Amino acid sequence: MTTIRILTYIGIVLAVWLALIDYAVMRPKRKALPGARLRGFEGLVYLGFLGCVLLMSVSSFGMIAVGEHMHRWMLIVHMSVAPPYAVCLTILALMWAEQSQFRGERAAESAALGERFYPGEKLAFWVTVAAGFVTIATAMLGMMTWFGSDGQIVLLNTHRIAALVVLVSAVFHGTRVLLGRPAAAVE
Amino acid sequence: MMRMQPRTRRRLASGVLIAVAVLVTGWAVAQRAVGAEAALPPERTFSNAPFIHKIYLRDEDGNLISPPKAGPDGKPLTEDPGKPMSQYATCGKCHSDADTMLTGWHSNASDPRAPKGRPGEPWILADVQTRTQLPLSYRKWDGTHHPHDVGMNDFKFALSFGRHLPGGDAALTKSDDLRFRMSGKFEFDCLVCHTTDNGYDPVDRYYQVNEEVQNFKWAGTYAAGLGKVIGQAVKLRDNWDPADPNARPAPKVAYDRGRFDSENKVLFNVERRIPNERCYYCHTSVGSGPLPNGDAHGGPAAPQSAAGGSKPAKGGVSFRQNLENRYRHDRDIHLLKGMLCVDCHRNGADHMTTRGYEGEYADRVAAYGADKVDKTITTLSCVGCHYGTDGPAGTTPQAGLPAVAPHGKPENLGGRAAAPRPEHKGLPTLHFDKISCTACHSGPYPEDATTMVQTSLAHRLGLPHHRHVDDASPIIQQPVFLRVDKAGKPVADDAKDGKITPHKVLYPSFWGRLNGDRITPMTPELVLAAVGKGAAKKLFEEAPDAKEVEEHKPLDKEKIVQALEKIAAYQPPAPEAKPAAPAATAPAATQGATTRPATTQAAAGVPATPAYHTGEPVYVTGGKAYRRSKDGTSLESFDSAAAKPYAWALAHDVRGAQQSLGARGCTDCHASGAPLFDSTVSSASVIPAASVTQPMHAVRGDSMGALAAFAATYPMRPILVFTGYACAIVLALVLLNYGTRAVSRIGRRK
Repeated sequence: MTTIRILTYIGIVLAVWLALIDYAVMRPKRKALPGARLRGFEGLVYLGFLGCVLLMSVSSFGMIAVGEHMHRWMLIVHMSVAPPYAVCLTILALMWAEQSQFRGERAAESAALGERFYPGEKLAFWVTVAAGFVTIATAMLGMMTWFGSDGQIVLLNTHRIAALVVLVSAVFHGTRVLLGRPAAAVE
Repeated sequence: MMRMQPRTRRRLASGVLIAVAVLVTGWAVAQRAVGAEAALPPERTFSNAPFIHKIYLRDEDGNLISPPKAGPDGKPLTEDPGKPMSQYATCGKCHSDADTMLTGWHSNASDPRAPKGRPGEPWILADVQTRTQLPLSYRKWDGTHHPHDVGMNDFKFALSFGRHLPGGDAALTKSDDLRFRMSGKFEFDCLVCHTTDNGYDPVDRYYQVNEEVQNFKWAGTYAAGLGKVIGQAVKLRDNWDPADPNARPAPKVAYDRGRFDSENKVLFNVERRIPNERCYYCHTSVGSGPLPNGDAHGGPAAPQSAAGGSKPAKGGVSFRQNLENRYRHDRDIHLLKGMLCVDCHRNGADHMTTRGYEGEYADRVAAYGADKVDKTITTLSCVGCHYGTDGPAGTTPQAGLPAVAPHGKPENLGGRAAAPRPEHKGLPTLHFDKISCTACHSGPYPEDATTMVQTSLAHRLGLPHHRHVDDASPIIQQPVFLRVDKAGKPVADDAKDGKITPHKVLYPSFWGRLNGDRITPMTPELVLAAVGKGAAKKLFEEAPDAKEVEEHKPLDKEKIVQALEKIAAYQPPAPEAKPAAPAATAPAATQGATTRPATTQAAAGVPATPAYHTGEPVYVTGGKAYRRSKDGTSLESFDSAAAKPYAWALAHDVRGAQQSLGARGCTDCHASGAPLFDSTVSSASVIPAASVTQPMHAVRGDSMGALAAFAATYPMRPILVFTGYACAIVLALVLLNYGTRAVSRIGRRK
């Protein structure tokens, strides 16, 4: 059992566990928010981003989890989804960076202060952006002829770890944003 | 008579006892000394400086050879001794481990205890007239035939291939074939490899061992220029008795007195590091151009460039050679850097020369046991030398080499012979699990079709002749990229330890007999005997001069049908009844070779009919077997294991980094039409228009959907790269901007 395979199992378990804990334990304590949190273009980009993360995770970590390389059609899927993933992440970063700044408030104060996102969501957002940047940078650098085999291995391992972080933080962020609050009562 | 005094008697008895004791002790010491001399280890200097081999010559009985002294008129005073030098006795006087040396690769083909090793180049029985090219091997590699199984005894094998045989194999020295009595045994030839100057001529050796002379025992003496050989063993009849005073005398040697110094010693220029030219006599490999018209016999044409011949790979340079423009070839990069063949292909006294493939250590351990195998051979493969047993970074355990010592120990380290550690910039490490080093670095630069190659063993390179064509028989193609494991066995597409490796490939062509589902080949002599001289000339055309190297001409189906008819009607001469022997069901399992083919004894005294005399006659060519149709007027083809091509891995000549696959980028392989996947292999059928051309990926059985899709994405790679870098830059700016704000906010609070 290789190290990356163990880390893959841990990452998948962590992503699922965090989402479940938040949904099952924290969500019932939260107040409902009026209206949908995401609409129109924003919602489209965000759902696209989550879809890309899911596809790229299945094509990479799915293969690692069963002891295989990412090759053949899984490689095709991964590389085909990579550009939309990068573009969606960049658009989200530009759209939400201002709204995701930390102002030192507690979660209960966020709504009163007119904040759109809560501290947990802000944290998950920035972790996703930072780790996402690392995944894109390492992938691009690996395609250049600048690094030999040892450098390629460092880039690949960094890419894998960062991708696991993206998986965990994106799943958590998605759970919080899309499912983190009970539905508002219909008047 | 006076009585002896008691004191005198006592003194006499003591003296006798002492004398007896001295005699017995002296005899015992002498015996021990003789025994000790016989058991002395090899005489060596252990110096890097070569020992000057000014030595006595010895004959096969170990007796010294000295040329007779000359009289005042210059003529010898006595009869020349006549006996040839025996290298086993001459070299073996100091190299008392000569028997150990005979266990090496060059002389252990018929030893059942020796590891088979990765399949290598077979001996190819080629006959232009009968359109035969049949791979033979004593090692029983899959796809080859044992010489005995096709009716070729050890002596005939020695005659057919003696031109490039080093001798010494049990099949050539312990065989009981009759004609070896006349020709002498084919002794192991030390000098053919170990001479460092032109003082030993392998071509002269060939002139002694060919079919017209058959002087095996005298060949080494003549090749070393020690004298003239008078007489030919071929003229000695089968009933020759050397003790018969009326019998023709055996060949003898008239020694050149000029080769002997004042002490009757002869100087041989011998060194440990053998020059490459000695290896080249047997191991030359020369590209000879594209298959004419796509295959040797008028089949579908390979894509032709305006200049003729197959096109080079996209963006690549055609290094295609033919025999005349060999000067274009750059030689192996290791040799260009000043190395010798023996710097990598090393051996100890056992002469188990390192072959350098990744599964070699495991093969030897399986044959001899781990404690008897030199661990350092793991670092004499491409990976082992350039990386050490850890292999390139990121490779899977299956792709690595066996670690023969704990990590970090010197036995595991690469950098042998100052080998640089390759960087492979820009190459994802997954490639090391999927492709061998030789796929990118070895052999001719791949083009859109395979090209022909000629070798010393197959095409008699090294022997002078007037006519030598590019498409000479046998047709061997290269490079053919097959997926094999570390032991050289073909494996499936999804095998974890399979790597794409370049090979040379021979599609066998031969006449044979089908018994059940097994085809037993027939030798060309048998085919001609079965068909008959007159019919052979009509069906197969005149036999070309055996000294020249000619091509196979096409053979029409009608002629094949007629030949098969004649073979079917052929009645072989009845074999002589021999005294009853125990029933044998397999070739002899002992080290000594035999002439008995793998048949069972039918009845006491009556040898069984060999399989090449029975069964339905067939002809195999171009990957198919052909038999006569039911009405006997045409041919019908069928599949047979015997028709499958035989492949052996190639590793030379190694091209430098700038000429390797991938030097121009990923699209050297990941593009439509890339040679690794789409280069074509021809089945090179003798029957006109029957050749089948397949792309490499079909030969390997690769599933191409994903690979083709991947290759199709490469033109869009610049867009991917631009998008990726643009997004990364934007993200970096966002992180920088908001990160700076967060830090300053924290600073203000404090």
